[in-house]
Amino acid sequence: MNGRNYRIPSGLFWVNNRDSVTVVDPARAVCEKLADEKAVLWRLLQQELPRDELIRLYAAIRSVSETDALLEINQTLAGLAAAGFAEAADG
Amino acid sequence: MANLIISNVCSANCEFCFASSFLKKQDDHEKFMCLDTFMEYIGLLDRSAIDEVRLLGGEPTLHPLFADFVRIGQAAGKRITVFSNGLINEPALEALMDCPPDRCAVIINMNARIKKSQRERKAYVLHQLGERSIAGITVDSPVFPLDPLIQSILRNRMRKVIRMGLALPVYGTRNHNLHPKQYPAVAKAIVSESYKTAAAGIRIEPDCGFVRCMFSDEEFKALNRNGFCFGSYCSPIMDCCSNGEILHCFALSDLFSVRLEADSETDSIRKELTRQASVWRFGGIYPECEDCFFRRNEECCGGCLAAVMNRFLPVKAMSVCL
Repeated sequence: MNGRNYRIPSGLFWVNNRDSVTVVDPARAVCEKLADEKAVLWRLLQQELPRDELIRLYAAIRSVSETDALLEINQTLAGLAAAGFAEAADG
Repeated sequence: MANLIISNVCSANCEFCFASSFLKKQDDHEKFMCLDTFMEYIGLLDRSAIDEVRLLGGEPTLHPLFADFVRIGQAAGKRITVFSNGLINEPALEALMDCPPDRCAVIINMNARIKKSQRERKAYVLHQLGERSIAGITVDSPVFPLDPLIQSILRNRMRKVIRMGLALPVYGTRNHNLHPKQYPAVAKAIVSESYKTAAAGIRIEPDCGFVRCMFSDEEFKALNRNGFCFGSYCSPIMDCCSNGEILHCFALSDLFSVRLEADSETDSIRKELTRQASVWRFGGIYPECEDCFFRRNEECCGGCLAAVMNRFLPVKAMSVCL
């Protein structure tokens, strides 16, 4: 099963908190606190892992199957795109 | 409160200085604030009902018109506060000595890095200023015995107050500063030294950037008993520069500033600087700040915003192909 493609734009900043990740977009003067599965995904993304490795590790951390992991990753990225912290890159 | 940065030059060379990187960037013709700009800032203080002129630098007393600025401030009915490294020349010293002691305070950076040959002058200045002077210290290491400072305060009849600042970082540049991980060690030293200051009847007033959790509850109680007036704050200081730019503070000079306008007031300037910085104020200097009890109860601000911002990493731009 394949999902959409996304771009994480440059110009953002992020920081690890104890239980979350905060992403700031200074240009739009907005910040977003990512908790739970969103924080896990963000941290993995920032390690610039290959696709399969990303899904495998996400599934292991979240204790879900790789199919479910891919679903969750898609949903999270769609949420990030809606908040302006990722861009859908289809077509 | 607003600081007028009247001099971009300094006669000391402190490693922890948070102003030097900004001041070095200023053009030669802006080394000293001109009289017109000074008067515009006096207007800002008047419009904002502020009865204090705070003169900073660099070393503010190096300004050729320093004595005039002091007299203008006095004539405008304002208290004069000067932040100095203590190497004050004679005309500047005379102008300060002309001020009534209760209308003038000179906060002397007692651990400014000055040459051996300058120490005699500083000792003379401290002796002359007496009750007009307040000892300031910037803590840049977890070891800082206050005994010499206490002796100096008593010997020179300075005010029985120590204004204590932490060596804070400057965002986007390097100065010698304390890492937040060092704060608990600094806190232990403060508590230990506070017994000596209390015995001498001297109060310690913390500057910005302190956090509540650097002290254990027991240490905090001891500090209260010993006259340490704890406060945790990080808000726009409003450093007013000679080019008409008003900074959130030197530590964030590259990021947050506004221009002085003819009808500016400090309330609106503070609001705008607060708005500019607000997106970064999610938490604090430690990962634990995000759900900290002290922060929720507004007992702690989360520390210096420049230190908070130093925790951030730039996002790696990438494509995610699913």
